[in-house]
Amino acid sequence: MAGCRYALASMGQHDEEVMIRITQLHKTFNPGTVNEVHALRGVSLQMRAGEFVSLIGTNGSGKSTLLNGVAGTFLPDSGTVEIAGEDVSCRMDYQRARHVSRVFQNPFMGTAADMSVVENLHMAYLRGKRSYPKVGLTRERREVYREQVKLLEMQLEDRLDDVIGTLSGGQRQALTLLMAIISKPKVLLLDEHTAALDPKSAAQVIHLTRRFIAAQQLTTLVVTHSMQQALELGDRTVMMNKGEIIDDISREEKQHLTVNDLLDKFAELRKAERLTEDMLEALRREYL
Amino acid sequence: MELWIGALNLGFLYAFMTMGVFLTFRVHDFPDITVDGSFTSGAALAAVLIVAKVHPLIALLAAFAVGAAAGAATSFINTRFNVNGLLAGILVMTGLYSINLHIMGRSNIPLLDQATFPDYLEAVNPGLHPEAWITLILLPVMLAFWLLTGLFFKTDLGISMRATGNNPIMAAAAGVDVARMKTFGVALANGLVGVSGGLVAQYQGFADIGMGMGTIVIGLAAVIIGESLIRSRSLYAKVLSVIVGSIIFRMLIAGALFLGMNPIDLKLLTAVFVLTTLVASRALTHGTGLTEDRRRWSLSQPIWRRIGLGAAALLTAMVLVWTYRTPGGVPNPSSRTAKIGVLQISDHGLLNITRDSLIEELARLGYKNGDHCTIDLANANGDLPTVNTILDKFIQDGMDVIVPISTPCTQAAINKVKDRPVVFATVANPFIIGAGRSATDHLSNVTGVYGWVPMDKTMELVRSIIPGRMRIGSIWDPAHANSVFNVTLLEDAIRGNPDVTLIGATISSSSEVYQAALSLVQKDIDAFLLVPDNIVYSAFESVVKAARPKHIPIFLSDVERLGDGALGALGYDYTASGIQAARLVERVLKGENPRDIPFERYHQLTVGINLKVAKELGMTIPQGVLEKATRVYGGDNSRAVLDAAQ
Repeated sequence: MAGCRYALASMGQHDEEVMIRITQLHKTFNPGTVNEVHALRGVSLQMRAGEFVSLIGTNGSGKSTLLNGVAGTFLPDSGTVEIAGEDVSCRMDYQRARHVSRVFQNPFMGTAADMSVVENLHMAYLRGKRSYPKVGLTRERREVYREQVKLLEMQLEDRLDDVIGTLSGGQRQALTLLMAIISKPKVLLLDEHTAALDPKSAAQVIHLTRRFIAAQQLTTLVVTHSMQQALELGDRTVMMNKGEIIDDISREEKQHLTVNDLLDKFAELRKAERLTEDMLEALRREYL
Repeated sequence: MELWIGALNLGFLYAFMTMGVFLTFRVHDFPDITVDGSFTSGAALAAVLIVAKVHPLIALLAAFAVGAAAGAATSFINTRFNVNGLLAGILVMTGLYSINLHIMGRSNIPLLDQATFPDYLEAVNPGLHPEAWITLILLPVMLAFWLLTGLFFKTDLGISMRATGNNPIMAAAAGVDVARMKTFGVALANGLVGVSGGLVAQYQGFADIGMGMGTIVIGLAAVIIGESLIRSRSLYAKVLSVIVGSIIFRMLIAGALFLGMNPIDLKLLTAVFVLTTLVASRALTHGTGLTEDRRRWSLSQPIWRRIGLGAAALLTAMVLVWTYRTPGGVPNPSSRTAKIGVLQISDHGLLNITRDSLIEELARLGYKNGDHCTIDLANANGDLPTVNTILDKFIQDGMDVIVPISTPCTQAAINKVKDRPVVFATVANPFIIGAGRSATDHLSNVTGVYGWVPMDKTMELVRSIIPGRMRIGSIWDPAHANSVFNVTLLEDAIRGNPDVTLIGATISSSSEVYQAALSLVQKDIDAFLLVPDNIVYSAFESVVKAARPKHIPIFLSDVERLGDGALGALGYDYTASGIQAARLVERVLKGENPRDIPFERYHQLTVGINLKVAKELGMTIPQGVLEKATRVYGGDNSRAVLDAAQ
């Protein structure tokens, strides 16, 4: 918990504009073993409220770790994570869930397979609230959920009592996305949430993602494997390598960029010796 | 009908436990073995409180609390220390054994004279059969339990709990503290198990340290049976299936006994039945992820379901026909024959001797099975709930006399059987289990033969062979009331003799006996004197193995084990117990009121010496001892010497 003590000492003043402030985040997994991985090496990142940032990088670059660091699935070795001015470095994921919601890459991960569609939605509604032994899933709430499910345009409003396990991966992921925004979080984290879907479902989910984020002005961090997606989605694109942020492309810059420009950027970085030849090759393979 | 009503009631009482297993196994996906311990904990605490004159309902609340604490401990170990769930359960279950003994203060608490819930119910019984009255009261209770549990699963807390079990990652993302929720769930589950234990203890009339053994298996079997019979996604149906499964499981055992199955096969039957229901229900499952070949199976699913229903209906019909064919308790007066039900707890040497001599003596008195009477021999194979079901069957079959052999059987029999004579045999002390205050002042329908081991006489035998200063080593299981009682007798026999010191070692399973014996050998004992203790006697060879290298003689109370390497044995001849019991049965059958028949002590002693062992040890047995011996092993001409002496 050294990181936690460190965190308390570095509490700064809150700027209303800043939703997420990550400062000098370090994380090593399995320290002192052969499996030791220095996943984050002093990452700092700020996101304004309502900003939509896409995160790219090769496998093992630390982009998912950074996302999980915001979600709170692990506690950092050192450095701080602030959300809406609140230092949450020492809070676990379930304690951050009131402000932060997540959509996972695996469409089976975000929903409880043996429970019905409404029960899953109700779980999402209970996010950040205490669950008491009272019947909260009333007839009125069901109608609310029915209306919300209609937004997905997947005819799920007729299947409210069906068990989630009987839905397709695309439907489950769309529902997970709906569940993520249903209780109006401050921060939305998307971890390659379309990577496991077929192209049609992926397009559907991306479409929904755009709509929901625009409607709720959510501060969003998305990890993606698609260069095209990185360029199209979001205001900023942040590139990571070996646990560090190596580039931060602003909205203005992005508007003039093509996929090829991005690759050129990679090449430039290589010249500056921040990317090795094989890293570049790996990036090419993954993103093209 | 008694058999089925009794099974129904047991099913109801065990339903709380089954619900607990459902909660951990199905809702939390957590294989929780704690239930074997928490069931006993609930029974133990409820029994202790009831003896302290606490109202049974409050005792049940306490049973819930102690069960919940045990469950919370398991989950705490699992979630906070990252110990595997199965292992955490085993650890807590093992630890609970000691805790339960501490709660009870001894291994068995009789509740016969205490105000238990059946007594409270009986006080307001409008005149129905007591068991039927219990059923009538339990029905609305179970109905409420069903609806409330179903409703609970639909509340916000219930939904969060189910989500936590189903997908902990999703639950954490939705803000649920998974570790805490799991702890809450496992505690709740074991609380229910504790309540079940408290209820069963009151129903059967005693709490016993061993009564929780195998609870988890019963619970799992009931859950699986229930969910394969009632296949629905509805929560209420699922909860109902748990209760139904618990009842069906008890009915299954009752049915097997009814059809005259050997209770030894009950466990095998359980396993086969559970496997069959599992496989059959899978064949009925329609759905996702099946191959084309399999899907054809599921297309024909309605047919299979019909076949299944048909088979169930057929079975029910058969059972009904049987019920009508066997006139329960209404004997045909013209061909009146005596019906005797004999029940023993397990296949133990002494109990078998008692049983065989009982049968032999009954035959000699003119009661031969199939001739002038029916003798039904039943063996519970160590399973206490089965003892109750067998007794229900005896009552249903209209037995004229019920003969329980061994203490636990007698305890259950005097609690359950009020309307016909009970003649017990081979019970060490009938007074501590509430059968009576003295040999003449006892329960009006109960009589029998008893006797504790004459440890003073055994000590005399030891002293006549080994005089002078000596250290005696003994091993026993502190969880068994009889063993502890026997140790007190031994202490009494030694008291006042400064030359003799007793060094004890306690064990809890037969695998520990060898080590305990070794520890005593290390402490330089001069002889082993083993008080009667089922576990130690079953592992007698371990004691021999530890004693032999140091040439330490062994004395015990069971003459039958003398040939296995003991030097001397002194005990009651359990054939006498059987013979005396048979004579009491005859008197009862001839019309004497059990109330007027005093409890009898067995009177025939047996003394045995193994001369071969004496030779190995280099010891000489005084002629006086040999003359008193009724059995001598391994002597060349000792038999002749003995016969001459006699």
